[in-house]
Amino acid sequence: MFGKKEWRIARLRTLKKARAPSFNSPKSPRRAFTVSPANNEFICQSSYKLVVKLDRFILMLLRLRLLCVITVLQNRKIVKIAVGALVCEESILKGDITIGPNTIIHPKASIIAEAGPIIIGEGNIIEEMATIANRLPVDAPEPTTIPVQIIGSYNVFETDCTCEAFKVGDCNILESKAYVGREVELTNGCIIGASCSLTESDTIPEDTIIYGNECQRREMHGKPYPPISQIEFLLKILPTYHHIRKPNIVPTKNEGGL
Amino acid sequence: MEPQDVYYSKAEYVETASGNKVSRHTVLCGSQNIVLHGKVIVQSDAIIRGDLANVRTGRYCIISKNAIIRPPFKKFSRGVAFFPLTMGDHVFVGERAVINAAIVGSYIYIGKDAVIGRRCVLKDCCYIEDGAVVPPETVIPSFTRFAGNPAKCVEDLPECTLDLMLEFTKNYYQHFLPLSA
Amino acid sequence: MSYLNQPDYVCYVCNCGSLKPISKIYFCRHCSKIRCGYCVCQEVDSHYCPNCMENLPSSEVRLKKNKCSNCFKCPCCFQTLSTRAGHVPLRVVPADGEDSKDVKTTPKKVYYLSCSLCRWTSRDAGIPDQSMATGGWPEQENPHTSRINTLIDYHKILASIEKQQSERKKFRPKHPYMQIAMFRITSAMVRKHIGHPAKPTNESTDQPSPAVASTEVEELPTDIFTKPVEITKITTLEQRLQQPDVQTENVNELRPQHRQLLVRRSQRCRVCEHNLCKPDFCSQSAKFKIQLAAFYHVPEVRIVTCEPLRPGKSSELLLKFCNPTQHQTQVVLLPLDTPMTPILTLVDEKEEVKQDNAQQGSESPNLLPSIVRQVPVVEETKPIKITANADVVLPQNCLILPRRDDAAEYDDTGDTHNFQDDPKFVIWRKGNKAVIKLHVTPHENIEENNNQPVVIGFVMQYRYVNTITTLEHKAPQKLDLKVKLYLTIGNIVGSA
Repeated sequence: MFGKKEWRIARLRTLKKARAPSFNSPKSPRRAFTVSPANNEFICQSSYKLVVKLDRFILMLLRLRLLCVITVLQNRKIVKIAVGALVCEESILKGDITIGPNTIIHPKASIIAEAGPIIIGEGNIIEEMATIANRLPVDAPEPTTIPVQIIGSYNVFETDCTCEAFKVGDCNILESKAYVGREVELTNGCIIGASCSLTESDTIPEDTIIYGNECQRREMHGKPYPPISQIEFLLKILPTYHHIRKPNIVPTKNEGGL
Repeated sequence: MEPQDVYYSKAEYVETASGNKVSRHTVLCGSQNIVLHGKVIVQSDAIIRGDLANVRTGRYCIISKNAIIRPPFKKFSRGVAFFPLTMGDHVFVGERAVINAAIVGSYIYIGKDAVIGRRCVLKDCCYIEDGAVVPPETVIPSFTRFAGNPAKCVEDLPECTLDLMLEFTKNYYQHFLPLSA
Repeated sequence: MSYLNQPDYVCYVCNCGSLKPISKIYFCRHCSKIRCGYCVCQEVDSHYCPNCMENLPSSEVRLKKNKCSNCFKCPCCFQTLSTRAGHVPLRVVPADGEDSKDVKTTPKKVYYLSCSLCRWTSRDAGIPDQSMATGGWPEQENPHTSRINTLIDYHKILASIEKQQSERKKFRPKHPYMQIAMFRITSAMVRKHIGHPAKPTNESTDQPSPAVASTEVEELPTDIFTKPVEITKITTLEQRLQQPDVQTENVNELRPQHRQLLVRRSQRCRVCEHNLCKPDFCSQSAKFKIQLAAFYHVPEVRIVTCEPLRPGKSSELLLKFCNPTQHQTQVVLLPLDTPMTPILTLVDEKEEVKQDNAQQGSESPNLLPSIVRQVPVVEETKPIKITANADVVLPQNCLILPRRDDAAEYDDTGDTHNFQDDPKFVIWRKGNKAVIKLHVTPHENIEENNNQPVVIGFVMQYRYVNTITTLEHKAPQKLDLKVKLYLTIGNIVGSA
């Protein structure tokens, strides 16, 4: 079968033949028609059409090959789900995501790893319409290294919250409609109240509670309880109502995710 | 001012025998546990989590786009269970509202982007303004209007609120018409 | 619904001159007049706690200082506190001779208060956990209690002395024998009669030491300039003022306050003293024992659409009229300067017209006895603060609205009424509602840039059937009542 190289050679040959203006005598049998020095374009019209078609065909093949390469590459950036994690089929997962054991992702939750991979620890609860996104702001310069968003263990992301924070610790709670910007770093035990948005660059100290219209803060004595009992309950009942993505073993084998 | 007709594409909505108009783009988890009593409109992209616990709505309820109705959970000594969520008649839930309440009464207006905390109890004839955040376990008494974050009572509602809400929801249902052709 | 979340486009003029939408006015059936919030007496009907919805009788309310005994308010964010249970293993003290390893620990339930918004707990304030779920929370002691009590007692003594002196002046025994013969004779009266001085009071009339003003203020500690301030540990002004007796500076010393009670109001007409609105006793129900809102008695006017308005040019305006009563009504639109007296329409009751006119100014015969009544304070009529800046072409014919029929929505047989409607006047009709078309011409001198809304006004005359049967009128009366309306229909778009 003709390989790509052979096709390229064939194409070049036909091009050469078609394009080379022949100032030889009109008796040359190779030319299909006479050369008219004024209209060089018409010289090789029919053969040029053939060449164009071949050109396009070859380009298409090249593109296909590239696509294959890309898909194979992307298939390597799959969602790695550990054993014991519960990821509902209706959730939206894009990009390179690692999900630890005992994490529960409700339907319609979205985890978008645009700018880099996201690593989620164990025992987290990500409720519906919550968004965990690793995306760069529009006007930011290209980073030198790929940013990795790390989310710790036993966090709770309630409905409709948005977390773009680069680093999230353990046992945090983001309540409904909370927004945490990229520059914020959440340590352990923080509670971001409903509809509070943190946009400026800041590190929230441990055990801080942010609540109210003006994002007032106070310190809490003692950490919030990790939601272990809720996780157990959800692990029991969610599989009966939803399709679950099967876990794939982390991290040595890279099989195709379902 | 009179409300205008709102049209929806016929292909998108399913109309049941009891007059419920449910969009196909909603996420109704555990639909066997969800009871819509009759003439209820559930618009597109709404989420009702019937898988966690039973959800019951009354008649003439309107659940707008992107609203989330989620039963609250309660910690018992022996573990955690999700409470069934009951909604009364003639309740309007605005867009993108998050309802985690335990009991929602009748003739209630919930504005858009409102957050109702866990295990809240909303009595009849109350009004939650747009963007209000009701902290968990609050009881909202009748004939009050709540606004702000955290939500506080800002005004008392007039005595004819019951009939106003009744007329509003009935009108909305009657004006929610399929787009012909 | 638009009355709840939209500005007031249609305002009714109350008898006192204030402009209100129909949702906020009442209709007194005895006076046959519209009353607004200013023309009614607001009375307290019942007290209830907004959290536990418990009704309290008014006598207890005074004792508890308008606060609920079971519900607490978070001192940090002022939301309701909820009781949470925690487990504390209870160690049983080992008896002598027993090894401490054999001691069994039984888990005991302890309760603490916790706020769900700011996560403040009673443990933050140092309040020990209670073993009972409700009650048992220690009350906060007011550090100035003793001083306040001595002041109150001293002033009570002063008040009683003053009262005795004033009674002594008033009391001049003219007929001493008559006094003794009275049925109720107290020892104090006998003493007065005899002329003995009043019984000496047991309390010492020592004056409590008065507060002394001093110009010296205590010095600030020297480390106030050097110590770093911890913002999260200092209370805010609002938190401090919620506890006016203590007013702590540290967050650790904040104590939960009791939740204040809310009140259910009932309204009473100031002129005829009848109840206009009386809610149900149970605080949880949304029903009313008496509900005389204008929404149920006066035809409602709503703006459907209005064509863009240009000064000097006529635009179409569609208005929707709705009849809420159980009787058919006739609506006639009259110009603004019509006199506002109601007219009786039934022929056989004409001789009672004069009597009615006299009576309507005064009270109706179904009144409470005058001993119970307080002197009514009637609101003075205010001038109406709105002026119409557009003309309306009022139709000559009247609009008949059928009665309200709740069963009609289930009945699809259609309207059985055959009204001869002028198709240019009445555009749409269904049940007890009808839409009419009017032509509006804004005045020439309205400027476009002012953003002044265009306002029209007219008087609506509607037939009202008064179903109250009194001694004089056995049959229900039919009255033609008038009400002034002002409608804000929009802004000027473009110029003439």
